Amino acid sequence: MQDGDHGALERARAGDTEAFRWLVERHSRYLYGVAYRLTGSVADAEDVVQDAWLKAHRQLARFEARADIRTWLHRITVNCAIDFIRARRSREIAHDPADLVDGALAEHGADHQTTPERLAESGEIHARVTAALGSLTRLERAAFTLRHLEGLSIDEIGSALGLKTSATKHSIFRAVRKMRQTLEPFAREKVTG
Amino acid sequence: MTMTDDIRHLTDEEQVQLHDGDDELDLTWAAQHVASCAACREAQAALAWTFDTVSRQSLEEPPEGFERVMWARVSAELAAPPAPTWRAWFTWPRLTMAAGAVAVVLVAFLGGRWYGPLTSERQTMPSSAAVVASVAPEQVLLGTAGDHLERTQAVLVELLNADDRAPVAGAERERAADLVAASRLIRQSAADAGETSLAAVLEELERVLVEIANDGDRWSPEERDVLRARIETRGLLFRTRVVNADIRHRGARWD
Repeated sequence: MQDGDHGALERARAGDTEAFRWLVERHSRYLYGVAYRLTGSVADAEDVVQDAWLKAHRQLARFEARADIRTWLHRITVNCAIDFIRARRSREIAHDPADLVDGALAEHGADHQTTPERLAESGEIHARVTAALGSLTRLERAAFTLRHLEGLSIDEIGSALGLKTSATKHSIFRAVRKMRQTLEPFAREKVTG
Repeated sequence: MTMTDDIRHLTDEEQVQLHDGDDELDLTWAAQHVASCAACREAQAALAWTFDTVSRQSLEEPPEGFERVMWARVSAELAAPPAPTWRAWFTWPRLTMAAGAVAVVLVAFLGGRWYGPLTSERQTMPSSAAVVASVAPEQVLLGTAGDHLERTQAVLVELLNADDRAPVAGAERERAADLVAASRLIRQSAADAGETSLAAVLEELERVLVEIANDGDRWSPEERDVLRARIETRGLLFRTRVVNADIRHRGARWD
């Protein structure tokens, strides 16, 4: 019987495959959400989560017992997503950062496209958020998510994505503007009451 | 800068900078302005609400059974043994050497059968170099990959057409496991040879085969549907056929 994350991790560290399996099955859904938020693609998110688990397995010995396991896994997943996005970006034709919006990374990376059925199925705000994120380019989505959802600095994001500071800021600002425009009716209603 | 009635309001970008505490903005001025300006205060609140909402609402749920699928993928990677010595032969340069060696043996054998003993009047045998050069290493890779893609397609088609209630039989799972092992070798060679489309489709097929091999006997109907949906929404069979058709067409150049 599993005795929590730390117990499972200790046994996984000692080579217990079933203990590691328990961790994978317990935390994969959450990590998928983190990965999907960054990549906007089901297939990419799955790849990132797989990479994150393999990385976590290699780093089991380095995990500090007092730390929170989910936080640790979250960071690994974010880093794997950054590597994934960056590797994909390096395979595309090099553009001046200012041109990237219209270049290869201008295609929208999200699999979720709002349909009338989806709006009916899920909460309207959730659908709007999904639609807003789906309207971002891959670069905008990655930069926005890293800045405003993961808390990285502009310099860290620029370094991670291989962008100059100005290009990083422009990407983030374009993303914020799109998010605000999509959610404005709700935001106004919430704020003015 | 936004001016209304000679009052400088925060721009959209400055609103974001204030929210983030970006010291490129005069934060003291910005904070004081927001405290005294209802419009900018409302805009700042709306921005904060937007970020908070996106943070809470942006975590998407994966499909049902995702945890088991992920374990199948992870465990397959963890179980993959270190490349044995013999696997090192399936690298592009060594395939080239192997193809050349095969060609030399063929020349020696066929030369004896077709040309008989050399006489001063008889034509000379074709040079070994000419024959070796004619057996392109690319031909070896494409031929092997084409056969592998056809066998893999057959497995996927069976999966798509199978009875929902029936688990994947042991023999089928073994076939999938064998295909995984072959795929890894071919994929590495394809990657080394710059055959990126082939390597990419092999990688996707491999993931499906891993799941069939590891968990095919334990799927619930829902989990089987998840896998089928993945195959169909990604157009995996179609892409496999396209890549295979291209391989066969290119391989025909040597016929």
